[in-house]
Amino acid sequence: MVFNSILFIFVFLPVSLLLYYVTPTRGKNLILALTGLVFYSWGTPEYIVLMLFSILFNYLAGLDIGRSKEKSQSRRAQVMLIASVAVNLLLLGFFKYWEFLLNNINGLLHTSFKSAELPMPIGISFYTFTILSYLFDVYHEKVSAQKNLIDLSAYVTFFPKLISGPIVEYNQMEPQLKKRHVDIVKFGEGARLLILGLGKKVILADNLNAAFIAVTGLDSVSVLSAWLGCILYTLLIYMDFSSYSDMAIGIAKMFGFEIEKNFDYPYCSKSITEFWRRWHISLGRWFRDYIYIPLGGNRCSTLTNIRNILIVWFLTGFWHGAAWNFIFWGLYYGALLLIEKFLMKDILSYIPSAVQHVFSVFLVMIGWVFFFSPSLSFAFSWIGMMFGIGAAGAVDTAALYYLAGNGLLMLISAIGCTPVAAKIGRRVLNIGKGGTIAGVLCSAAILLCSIAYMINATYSSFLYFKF
Amino acid sequence: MKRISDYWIPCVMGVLVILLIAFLVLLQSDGKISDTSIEDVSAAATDSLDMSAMQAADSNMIKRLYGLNPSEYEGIVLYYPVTNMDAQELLIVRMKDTSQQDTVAAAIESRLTAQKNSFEGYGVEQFELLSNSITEISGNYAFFIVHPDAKTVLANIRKVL
Repeated sequence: MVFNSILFIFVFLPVSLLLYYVTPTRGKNLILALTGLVFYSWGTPEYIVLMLFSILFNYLAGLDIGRSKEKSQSRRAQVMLIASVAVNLLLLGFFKYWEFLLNNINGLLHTSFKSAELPMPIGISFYTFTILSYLFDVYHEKVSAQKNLIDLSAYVTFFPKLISGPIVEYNQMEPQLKKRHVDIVKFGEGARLLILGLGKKVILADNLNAAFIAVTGLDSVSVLSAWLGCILYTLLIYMDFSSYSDMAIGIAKMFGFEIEKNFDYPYCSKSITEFWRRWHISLGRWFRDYIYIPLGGNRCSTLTNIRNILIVWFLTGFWHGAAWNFIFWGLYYGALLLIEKFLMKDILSYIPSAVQHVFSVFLVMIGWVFFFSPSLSFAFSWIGMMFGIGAAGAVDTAALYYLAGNGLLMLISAIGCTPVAAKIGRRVLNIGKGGTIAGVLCSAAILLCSIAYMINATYSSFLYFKF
Repeated sequence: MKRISDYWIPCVMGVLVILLIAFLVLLQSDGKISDTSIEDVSAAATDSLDMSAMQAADSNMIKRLYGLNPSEYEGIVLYYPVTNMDAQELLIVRMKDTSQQDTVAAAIESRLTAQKNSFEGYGVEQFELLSNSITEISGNYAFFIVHPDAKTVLANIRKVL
């Protein structure tokens, strides 16, 4: 089930909220767990088996690790951690990486191994990382093992963040599983975020996506078309993914949970290091907490630090997709971060701020080409066309047509990538009663507009679902 | 007793992993995707078969008899009875993905029921043929075989998948 569907907005969410609020406090986590399972199993009900397995298996693993730690059996805790992490990763690998592995083996050894093209369980990368965070947190004694299976189920299957994040680490959610607070103001704030996210998705992202598909589907690509495609995708991926996070955080608030923001205007960054502090924050934190720091982080020799950074960025790329272009994309950022950290550290402060902004966004845009391309060769060919190599001229009528037709959409989206709109919104809300009424009317208008789009549009998924 | 209480968790986890593997094997066998073209599958099914009681169907006939739109699938081959007094039939569907399995299964079931109703009571041989028909849905292929040599046909098909 997706957030931007009539079924979710008008049936699933209201029913879930109603059940949640009429249920006594003791039973609320059970409602969260059950609604999460229904949400997850919609469409591919057979995969509920995987979810139930993950919950039960990791519940037991957590119990055993916790018990071993209590008895100071550190060796046993370590073995259990390694075994349970291996099972989780093998499951992820089976669905996400098996075909990639076989294709590479077939290519190298000229064999013809076949894989069953099983559909990948939606959000498997996200919920696997969610579960792993629980095991790591118990092992590192940040939290005690969860003895209540229902509470752990609620953590894993909490539907706002289940299939596309933000990846909430267990240590952040554990206190909220025990006690959380919701009042009318928090509920309203959650509803406002949900509506804004919905608007970003169906009004902006879906239309950007339509333009992007049209531009990348052109028979001949001029330099302008190539840049247009790249700019459209840059705006699209932010609008699409951040809208999901907005909605997830908003819905979580409506249930009384606080989830930290996942995006902080990443295109306003002055460096790649800053960009990754602002983009998909929860994933960056996960890799920092559970991979980078345990490897030694930066408290080690320069060579080991470089190795750690490259490992993290290889894994970040590979996490996004089982294809060489994603691995290249990850290592591209690893290399850029190393250059910034070791070569540009002293130079950056002398470069004018505006130049830093422009150059960072340029590098990010080049990165997105690797991200949206079906293969590495396509990506290099597209980048070549952006600089005139292999392009059908500098400007063509198709590019001008799509630019004229989507210019306003791109401008609005670009403004949406900055804090400007949010600042104006806050100022209006602070005016007083009139501001509040204006805010409510504005949200109502966005909601109505979004519903109109949802009724007319065919099904549209989120880009990050495939990860 | 102490040993049991110490190791019951890893034991249960082991059992869960075995159950998971069984589930994955089931999913795999249910969802096996074949690269073989529908022409090759059709040839394997019909090459050594007496086809005198069947004729090839066009798209309209497939829609009429099964309610399936061939343009929505990778390919559909149907041989249907030459006369209304016969029941021999061969349907081969290559699906775009396994999500189409349910639709195809329902279409075959509906056709089989309709044919059984037609012959029940007066066409003993035809009804027996329909009762012994084979419906198999495996990965991206579906087969419905109504023929005295249905088992041989299926074996020939399996060889090329």
